[in-house]
Amino acid sequence: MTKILVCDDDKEIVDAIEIYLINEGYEVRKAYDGFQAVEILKKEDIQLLLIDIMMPRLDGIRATLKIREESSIPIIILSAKSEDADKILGLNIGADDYVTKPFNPLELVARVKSQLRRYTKLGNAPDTSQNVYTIGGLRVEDDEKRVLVDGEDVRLTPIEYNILLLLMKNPGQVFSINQIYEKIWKEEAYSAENTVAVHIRHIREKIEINPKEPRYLKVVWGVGYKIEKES
Amino acid sequence: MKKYSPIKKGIVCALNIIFAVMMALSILFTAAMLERADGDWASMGMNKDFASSDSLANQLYSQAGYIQDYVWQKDLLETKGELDYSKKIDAFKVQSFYNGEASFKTGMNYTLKELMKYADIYNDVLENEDAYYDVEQGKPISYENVSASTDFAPDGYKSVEEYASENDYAVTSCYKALYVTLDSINRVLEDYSSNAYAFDPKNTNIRYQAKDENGKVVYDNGKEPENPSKKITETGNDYTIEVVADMDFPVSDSISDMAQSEEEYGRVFGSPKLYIMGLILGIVGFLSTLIYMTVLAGHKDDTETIVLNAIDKIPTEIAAIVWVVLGITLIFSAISTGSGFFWNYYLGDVILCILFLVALSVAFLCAYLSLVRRIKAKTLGSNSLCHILKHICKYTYSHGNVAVRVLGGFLLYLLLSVVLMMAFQGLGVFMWLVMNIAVGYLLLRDSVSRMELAKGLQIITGGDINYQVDSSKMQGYNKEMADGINNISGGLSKAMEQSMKDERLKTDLITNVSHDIKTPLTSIINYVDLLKREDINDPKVKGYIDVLDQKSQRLKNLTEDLVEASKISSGNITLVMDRMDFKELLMQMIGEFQEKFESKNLQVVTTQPDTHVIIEADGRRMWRVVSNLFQNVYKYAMPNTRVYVDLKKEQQKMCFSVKNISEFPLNIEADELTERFIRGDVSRNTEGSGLGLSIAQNLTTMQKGKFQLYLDGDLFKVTLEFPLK
Repeated sequence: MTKILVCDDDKEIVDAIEIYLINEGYEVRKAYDGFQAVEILKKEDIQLLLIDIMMPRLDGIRATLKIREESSIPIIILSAKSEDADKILGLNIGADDYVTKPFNPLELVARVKSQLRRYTKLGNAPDTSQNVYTIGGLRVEDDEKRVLVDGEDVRLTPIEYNILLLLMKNPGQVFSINQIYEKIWKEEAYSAENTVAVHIRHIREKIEINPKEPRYLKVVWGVGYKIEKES
Repeated sequence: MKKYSPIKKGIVCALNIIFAVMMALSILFTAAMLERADGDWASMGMNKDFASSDSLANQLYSQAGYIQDYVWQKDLLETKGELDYSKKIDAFKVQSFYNGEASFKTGMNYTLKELMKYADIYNDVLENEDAYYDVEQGKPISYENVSASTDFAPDGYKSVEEYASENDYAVTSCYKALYVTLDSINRVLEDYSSNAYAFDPKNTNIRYQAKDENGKVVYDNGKEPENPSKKITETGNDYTIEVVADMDFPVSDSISDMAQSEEEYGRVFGSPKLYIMGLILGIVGFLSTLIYMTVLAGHKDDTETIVLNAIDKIPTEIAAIVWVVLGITLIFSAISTGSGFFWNYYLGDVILCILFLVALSVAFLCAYLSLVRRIKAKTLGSNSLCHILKHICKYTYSHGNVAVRVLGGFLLYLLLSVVLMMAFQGLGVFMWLVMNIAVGYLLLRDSVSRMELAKGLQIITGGDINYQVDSSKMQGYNKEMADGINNISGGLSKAMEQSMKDERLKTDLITNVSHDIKTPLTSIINYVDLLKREDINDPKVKGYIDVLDQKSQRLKNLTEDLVEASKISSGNITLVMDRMDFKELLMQMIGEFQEKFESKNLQVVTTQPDTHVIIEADGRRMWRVVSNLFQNVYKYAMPNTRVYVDLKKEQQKMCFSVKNISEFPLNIEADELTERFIRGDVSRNTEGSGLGLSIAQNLTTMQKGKFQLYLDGDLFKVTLEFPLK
């Protein structure tokens, strides 16, 4: 059974998260400050850590730094701090994801699942097969016309699939609406083509946990769309 | 002894004065010696032999002149070395002696006795003024009171006339010779007796010998002395006079006095090495004590600052004039008394000269130390009359009112012009030109200052409140004005800074508060969600839970927007400006919102140019702006209506507008809608924070765009303008 450690100085939040995670079939351990979290991690075999930043005794950032000295388990930071600088700091010191409070419980559960799948199933196994494009947990197998997110199949329409494939083949490259249109529909684009934008939104809704904060398919406003290169 | 004790200073001053006097005396004495040695350095101060000295020779020459006369008198009056009253005296000989011309006439002889008797008569006759005429004409003088026997008959003749006729001479010339003889015979006698006394060897150290043409000694006053001086020889008509002085000085006379004076002088001035040593010592001592006093001057032991005394407080120019006049007077006094040293040595002169020199040294030291103290205390310039005058002018200039200053300046200018033109002509015109150039320069400088002030005011009113007017080169009123302007701009910028700081503090406060709200809000949202999952059959309870859900979601949006709005309005965000295609952005946005609009059956009518619309903006912020506008449309547009989205390229700018029909009447002003927390529906029933338009407007302005709202009945229109790139 997968064990998840939830660490927050607000007892009610910990309890609520516990309920959601138990519902999904995980075992939950609880800690109320950084020290407790570090102690429990030493004693028990924990697969994932959810940790708050602002806590007494040892805060989330320092606790994460300490844990990272010994362990590589997925760490998701849960924080009321929503500034860009806070997120960047959290991710830079070794957290795998950053969720701001107040969060959508379902989104949180989805992110937990995503991190666990990548950690337990995929690992860092190298991809050798032909015509397979992988970015993070996103995998497009062109031979089977299959799209997998964190190892789970995602159903896309043929146009959506072609758009995603185009972007996956050229990670980091920004495609404008007209470029995408001309490549997929193979005809000249006229103005007022909102179709591409709508398709993109649909793809996002299918492959992203939170379409408003996409991890893979990013919108470059006023320029176009791109798949983020793996960092 | 303390470093600056008065006793020490007094000693050094006294030494300085002593050395100064020593130096000056040495100079005077040396000069006197040099003068006496006829400018010959080598022989200077050597004790010359008085017997062969020039001064003695000069003295002897003058005596030789007297002796010449004396010898002639002896010839005339003496017989065998004794005064002989019966000796025959030729009137022509006397006449030729007195007229200085040789006479060929001879033989008009009278005895001395006769001549003395006739001289008495002659003098009596001459009391009558008419007789003068006869004497001058060479006529016989016979008046009533002259006795008959006195016909001035020469020896061997009955009368002058007979003598004249026998010798075939003119009667008048004979009378003239007689008259000259009678006129001078008494004086000759007097001179003779005084000379006899003066050249009596009992009374003089001078020894003379009168030799005739053959070198035979005719007259003398004693043997040649054993210790003679240099011999003086004077050749006259009849005799050659040889004069010497007896250097043994058997008697006391003018020669012996001279010798004594010379001896004393030699004693005083006889050692040049002493005076040259004195001079060197004086100079060295004087300079060293002077330098030491220069160091000490003005300092006192109990204070750090330079101490000035009453003399130092006299205005510089007055002090300078007084010291210079006093100095020159003392120098001339000293030199005039000291110059007596050149010829004679008198102790009185020396003492007087030393007194003058002491006074001069004291005056010099006082003046010099006063100057040093002034320089040390930096009051040399500031205590001068010129400086004080300048201050008075400056004070009047900067404190008088404008009229007085302008008028005063103008009158001064006029006066100077007139004076220069009238007084000096050629040079005056030149000076007048120079003055006008100076006046022109001042006017130009004044104008430049004014221009600077105007420019500063313009810049500050233009918004750059940190601008400082450079007042360093300005004067008077302009400077005051410049400082005033700088103070105002300083005050303004301080106020601005304060308000920025306040705004930032407010943002920090809002951010912190929102963090604290978010934590309990998380629990509320989570537990409401958990409640929703419970199997609740009571529709009433379900309704309550829905309200809780809605409101907690709204609270969430509100806290997020609040933080953002306060950050934007305080300018506390950084923009990443880049080139972007607004048309692309618009298409992306419409794609995002398409289904939302469809859900309310809003039909989007788009017009846009075929080409790219490139502007410079921050992509994420621009998305936020357009997103807020579309959210607004989604929330407040009347369902089943059309929404017009227009993108146009105009000259140098792009124009974007969104038009929709409001579901609720908009009974407020357009301006108010962009205020924070103002919403079209006063009841505030709908979701949304009321910050959307405010955020959109602020972000647009920050990216140098224009944001305009237009309300007409239910028509709601937003326009964005950005410069094209």
